[in-house]
Amino acid sequence: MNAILFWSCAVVAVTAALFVISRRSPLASAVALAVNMVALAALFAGLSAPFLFIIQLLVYAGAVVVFIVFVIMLLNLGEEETRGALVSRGKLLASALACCLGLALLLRAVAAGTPREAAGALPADFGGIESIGQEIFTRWLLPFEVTGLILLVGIVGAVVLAKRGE
Amino acid sequence: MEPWVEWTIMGGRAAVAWVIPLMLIPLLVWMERKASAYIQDRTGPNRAAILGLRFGGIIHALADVVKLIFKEDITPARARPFWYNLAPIVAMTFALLTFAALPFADVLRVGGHEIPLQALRLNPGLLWMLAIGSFGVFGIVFAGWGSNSSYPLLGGIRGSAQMISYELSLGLSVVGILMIFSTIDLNEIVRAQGKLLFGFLPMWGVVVQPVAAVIFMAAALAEANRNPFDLMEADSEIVAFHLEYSSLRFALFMMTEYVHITVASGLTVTLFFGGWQIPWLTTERLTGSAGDLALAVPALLVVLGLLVLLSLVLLAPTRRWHRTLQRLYVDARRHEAKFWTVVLLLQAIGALALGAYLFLNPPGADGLAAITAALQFVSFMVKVTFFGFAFIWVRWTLPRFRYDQLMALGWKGMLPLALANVVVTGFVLLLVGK
Repeated sequence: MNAILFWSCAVVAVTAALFVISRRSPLASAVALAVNMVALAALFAGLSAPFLFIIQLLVYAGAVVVFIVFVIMLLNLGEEETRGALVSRGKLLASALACCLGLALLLRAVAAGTPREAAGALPADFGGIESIGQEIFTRWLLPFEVTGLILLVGIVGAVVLAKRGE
Repeated sequence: MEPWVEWTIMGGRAAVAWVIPLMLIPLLVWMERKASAYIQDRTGPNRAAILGLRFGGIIHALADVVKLIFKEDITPARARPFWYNLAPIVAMTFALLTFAALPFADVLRVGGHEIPLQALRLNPGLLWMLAIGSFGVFGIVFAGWGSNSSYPLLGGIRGSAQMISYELSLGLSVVGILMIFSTIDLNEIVRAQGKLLFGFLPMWGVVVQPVAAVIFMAAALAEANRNPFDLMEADSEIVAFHLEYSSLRFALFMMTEYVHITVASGLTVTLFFGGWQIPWLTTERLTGSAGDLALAVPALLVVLGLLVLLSLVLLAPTRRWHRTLQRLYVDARRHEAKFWTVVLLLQAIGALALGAYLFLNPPGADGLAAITAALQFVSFMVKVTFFGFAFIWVRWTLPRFRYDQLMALGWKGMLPLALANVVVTGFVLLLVGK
């Protein structure tokens, strides 16, 4: 992968991720998340995974973040509403766990040494929609369908929770 | 190919994809005004003139630009300035980017090189359109939230909810097309539409997927926030996300709407109306046997030139016509007829000269490929302009939906219909054994 592409995308992604957790304004956090997603998508594009690149854009930046932003606007969340207790025991515990996880990943990456170039040339249709479709609908069919079912359960659950008040 | 040639071609491709939607803005604005006027039995704008030339009212677009530039640019005191200023830029940028993946002619094969005539040659081109199209919501949200006042906020919520809802129908209606042509490369989809059904009918998307075409066009109108889905502009209850904007920032939102029309009609044309295809004339036929095109194009040019010349002779500004003009207009506008006569004359001479040149020097394979690409580009632009006009036509013909009707139509009408279309298409393909 092109080193310039990798490093620029990596810097943008990490900076945006820092913005996500450090901004007071909820909209700024959400938009930083969108920028982070786009940078990740660009990394996928650099790894010759065009389908993953476009799906990352379509699903995460285009749909998930758009929904988050929409809810922020629907509830008209300003900075006032979000100014609760900034530090709590749960948050501290979660941050500590996240730090441990990050440290473990970093150590593993360092231990493994610098990744070499992929051995041999990639097949022509690598990461294209045909090859991914073949994999998903033959080898990984059951996990794929179960994921769909889980999502359906989530939707039904959300509707039930929303209707309970009436 | 040398690198600088490659870079120039790439820049040219990007520039064309950038310029088409921008240049269509004044044309669409003009068509909107004139079409609405004729539909309502008025004459429409025809006063603004430069040196007596009115161009049928298109000068008004220029006057608008001058007016919008010199208006005061206001940022409300309570607005959130960062988001408020970012919103129109975001809206315009993503609207323009969507157009980049559309092919405006088939891959040009010149001198052993292949030049794709689309700014962004992506294998998942269709998904690109959907992805970048969904980014357009950010512009509305930023405007509604950044204005920090009640009505823009409500308008922003309405507008983004509308876009999110209709995106589902938009995406699902396209699935039928993907199943039939079994590709998501936009250029391949257009190529597949050059085949013939039953030996005489071009296999356009609208022929094989009529339901999807209707759903897609309706959803595309909703995505563009156009009538009958333009609750933004309801005069009785203006609850619009761009309520607080003025001057060029407002103009950017207005221009975005017309770019959205171009994008919507470009997508409709590409997916359902054969894109750059000229009916019954595929690229292979046009470039293959040199006979057809090498004779037809110069002959057409010569006929066109002769027709224009003939009509000019018949309608030439005779003395009587001149006197009528003198009586009708007592200002500089009476020179307009003279101006158009000269323009038409030059066009006729140009067409005749080009036709004669092509007769004397029959184009080789490269020349034929270039002529083919030019013809396909013209075909694409004619179709896009027509559907742009059709969207304007819809606006001045149909009444506006109420907000609850809008949501009911999207979720209870079009979404199940699009799903049913996918299932039926699947069954039919299974029966046909494809």
